[in-house]
Amino acid sequence: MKTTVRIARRLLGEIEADLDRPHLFAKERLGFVLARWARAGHELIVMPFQYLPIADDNYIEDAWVGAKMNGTAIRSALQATLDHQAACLHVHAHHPVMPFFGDLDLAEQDKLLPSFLATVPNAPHGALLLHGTGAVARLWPAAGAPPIYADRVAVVGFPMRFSWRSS
Amino acid sequence: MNERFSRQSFLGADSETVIASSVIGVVGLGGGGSHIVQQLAHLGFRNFVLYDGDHVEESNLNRLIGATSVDVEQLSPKLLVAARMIRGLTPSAEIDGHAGRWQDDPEPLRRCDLVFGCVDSFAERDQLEATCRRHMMPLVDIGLEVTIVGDDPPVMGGQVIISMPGEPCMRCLGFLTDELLAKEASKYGGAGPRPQVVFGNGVLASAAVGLAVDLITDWTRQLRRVVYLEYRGNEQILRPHPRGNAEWIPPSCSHYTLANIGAPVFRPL
Amino acid sequence: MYPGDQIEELKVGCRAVAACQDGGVEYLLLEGLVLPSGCSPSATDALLCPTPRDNYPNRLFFAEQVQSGFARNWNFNGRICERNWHGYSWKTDDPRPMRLAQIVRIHLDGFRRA
Repeated sequence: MKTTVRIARRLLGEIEADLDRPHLFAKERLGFVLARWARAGHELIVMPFQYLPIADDNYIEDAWVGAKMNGTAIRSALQATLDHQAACLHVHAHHPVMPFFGDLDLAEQDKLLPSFLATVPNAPHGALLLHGTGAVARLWPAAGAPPIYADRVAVVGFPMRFSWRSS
Repeated sequence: MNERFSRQSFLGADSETVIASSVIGVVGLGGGGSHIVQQLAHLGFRNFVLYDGDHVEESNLNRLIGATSVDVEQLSPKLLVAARMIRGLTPSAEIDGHAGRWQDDPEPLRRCDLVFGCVDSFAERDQLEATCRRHMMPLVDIGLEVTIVGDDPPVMGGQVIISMPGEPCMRCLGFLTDELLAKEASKYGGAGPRPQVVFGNGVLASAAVGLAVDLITDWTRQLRRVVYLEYRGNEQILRPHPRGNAEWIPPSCSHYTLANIGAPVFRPL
Repeated sequence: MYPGDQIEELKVGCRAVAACQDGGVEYLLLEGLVLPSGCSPSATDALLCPTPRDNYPNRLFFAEQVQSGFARNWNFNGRICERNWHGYSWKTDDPRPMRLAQIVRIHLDGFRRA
């Protein structure tokens, strides 16, 4: 199934501004973004529409990882997902030299995503990674289906910007 | 870089890839749409979603790019003319063609990275913009109008507008209004053939394609805001419309918010 | 946005009522709206726009063109809220504020009389 994420440049700007903010002890910031989706034949289009920043107080100090969020942050995101009957993508940023999810990222996603899939089962939940001028998304396209990487992440705005999944 | 596109390498080192990978929708393959399709094909676009249910008639030959007198004899679909033009340049192009209204088969349009609206009514524009906004697709709208009043010289005018999701829409720009839609609805079925000419369509189509390429490749690194161009055909002038200026434009669009993208939410009452 | 009693009145003539926004305008979906006798179909989904549009004070769109025995000027065939709708030219002349069910009744009058 071909999958595209289309994100408005304005929304991306909001996300980047939040993720760029320093935190007292976390080395990086995390967030969630709610998304709607549409199908076009065999293609899936995922469209983020609202960013959910994680409050400073909801980070847990952990020297082993760049950032860790607490249960309150996750529950808030789950509630918003339920309220909006939306898909939810966990979002964070990497330096451009690491334009891919690390092993830790993938492991955390595998732990986190089942809760979202249980909350709104037919939504393509997943994770979005911003890396400088590009982005990559990993999505669970349907209940019971294994996760896939989006074929493309498109920033919609002036100008447009496309990131393709590297094969 | 492919030798074919060596002369347009100024569009950027990865422009050939970006262009070849983009999926472009063209709704309406008449005087404006046929120009656009021709230029897109020359530029190297190769993934198309096309809609038009009409056939070539004699009165189209003054402006339908790619159409011939044989097409009139054979009542060729305009879709066929467009596909023929594309394949003449790129035999392996992917053409998802629909000989009908996009409203009757709307799903394929959602695959597009960008849509050209070459329709001939405000109502059609309104509906197309709504669906493009819902599915986060920039819409490049063009339109040409020739107004004849009594014995005065005809007045040719037109527009090129980029309706960008997240940015002001055609209603924000004052181009689409309830009054215009109402006036058009009152003439429904009685509009009659509209004056049209190839050179006017050509100006608008070229500007639209140029803007779309800039959007996709960012070769000018200057396209950073809403575009509303007005065409004054009597003077052969294409210039920014005053309503595209910053002081006219609202900071954000209240008609199409990000909260309303995707499938409509029907809230049970 | 609309008083509950008016929504309940609407429900008398259809299976369910839901609200949807499109282009900044709120519409009311009337699922399976029962049409006046003699109409074909006898019921169909309808979309009510209770606020002014297209120079009409309000409009009622139908999921299909309804045959009623009365010739109507079906001057809308297009897409709203990602569905296709048909609308015929009919105006509610009373300038006073009307209840939602009243608006629907007046629009259905076009299927009852010339």
